[in-house]
Amino acid sequence: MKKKKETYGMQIITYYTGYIIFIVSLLMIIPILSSLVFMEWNTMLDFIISWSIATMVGLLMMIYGIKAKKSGANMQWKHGFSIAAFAWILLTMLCAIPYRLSGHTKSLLDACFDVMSGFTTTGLVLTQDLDHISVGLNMWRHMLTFIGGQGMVVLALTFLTKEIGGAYKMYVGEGKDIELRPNIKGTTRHIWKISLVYLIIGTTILWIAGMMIGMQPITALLHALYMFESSWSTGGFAPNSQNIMYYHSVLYESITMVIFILGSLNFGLHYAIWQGKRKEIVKNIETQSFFVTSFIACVLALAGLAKLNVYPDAVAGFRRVVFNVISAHTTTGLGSIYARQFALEWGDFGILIMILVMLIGGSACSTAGGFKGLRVGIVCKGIVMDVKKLLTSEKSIKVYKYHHIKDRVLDDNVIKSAATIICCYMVLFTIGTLLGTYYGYSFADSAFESASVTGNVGLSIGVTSISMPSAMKVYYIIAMYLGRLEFLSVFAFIGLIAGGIKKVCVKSLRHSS
Amino acid sequence: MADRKSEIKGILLELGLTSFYIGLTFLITLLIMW
Repeated sequence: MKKKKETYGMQIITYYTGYIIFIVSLLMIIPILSSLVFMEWNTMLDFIISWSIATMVGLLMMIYGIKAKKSGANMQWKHGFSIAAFAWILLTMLCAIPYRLSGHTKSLLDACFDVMSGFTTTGLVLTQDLDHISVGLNMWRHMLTFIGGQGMVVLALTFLTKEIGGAYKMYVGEGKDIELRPNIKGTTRHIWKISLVYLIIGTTILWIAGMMIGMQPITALLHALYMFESSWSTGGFAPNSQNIMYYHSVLYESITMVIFILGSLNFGLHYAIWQGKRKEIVKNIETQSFFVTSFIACVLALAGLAKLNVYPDAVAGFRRVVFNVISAHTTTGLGSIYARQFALEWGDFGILIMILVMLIGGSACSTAGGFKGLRVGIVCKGIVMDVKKLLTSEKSIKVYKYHHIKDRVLDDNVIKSAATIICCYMVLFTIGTLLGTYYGYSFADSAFESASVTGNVGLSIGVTSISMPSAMKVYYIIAMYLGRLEFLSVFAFIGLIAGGIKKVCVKSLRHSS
Repeated sequence: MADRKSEIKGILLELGLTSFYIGLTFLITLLIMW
């Protein structure tokens, strides 16, 4: 009986991973259609091949696990977490096929790097000749980052015809835990509703702005769509090699800033405000934390760079400093200066500010990365709580609270789990920095790039390039993946694999003895 | 979800406050770079 249950565990993971792959692969129809409209026959063929492979993999996995689905076997937390972790790995490989077939990447590793960068909303790029990429592939790149921001599991759960047991476990496994509705299907649908409403508003505004700066209507529409997807998902991709600098427009930059700040806010917060709880925006610990840290970071970076006399006036300061600091803090990664300008012009103080804000990141349960404002707020309140406890009478018992959508009790467990995740991020960041310095990059460059991948930011100081050692590319892929899934689901997946290997070894040892 | 009117008000509030924050950072930039 126990053996049967274990087999079902594997089949459950396979079935739902296959289901997620099948749903995400359906999205390849969009680049196929755009290639058809723009008569890009080679690109269309690349996507037809990729879609066939991905659909086949998804269906085969579903067929393998259908027994467990039909038997109604229970999904445990370890299964839900492993499904999310496993689906992300397989999807990265499958979604990299059109990149590789396009010839714009040097190797499959580079293609996987770009897909993971898109899915995790990082925005670092190894794809070559960005300015001459087909519309189909550009559509795919930006769609990946848009889907990744909301989450592949979130997308797959949106298409559920009926509620399934264990759906919440898969949802949490993807690093989201906010419940907008009593059921998970309703929650995921509302996440998509919020994103799609802003997609229409943001794309329209950027489209008008694009035409105002002299772009042709069709080009302006495509750029508006790409830049919205990239900004809302706090991704950082752009349809050209010059990123946001391509547009030479304060208006365009300001609109994208509004979009990426909104994208970095918690979906629970958007939902609460849309429901009429207007005060939430002021009371929420995450918005408080974000606006305080981003404001301080902007002031410090501006003061530091004003001292160095890098930028001549306030407009240049706003466009080059404030834009980049907020882009880093929201973990967007759209850059308004060239990569090496950080190293050559910003000085150690400016780089340090950027590293700090990249690590802090945006809000939990948003499209942003980093160790999140919520955890910073909890740890800060925890310190204040400890000091208050020391100063008050030992006999008095007081319950401390923090506000995040609703009032929550601030106890030691909450502080401990927030501090643990922050520690995991710091370890990941330190290893990345060590690896960079090992391969001969300067300490500042290594730390900047490591913070960028750990926090899923995407700003580069010039380390990320096709000539970067393969070990660093692999590590950066792992760091982006761990940072986005917030460690736990990946650890659960590794634990499940290790447990399986251990059982096989013990069994074979018993047989041999 | 709440009625359509409340949703529109919510969206406008979010867009307004974010734009205000960006305006504020520009004013701070003006002050510092002056």
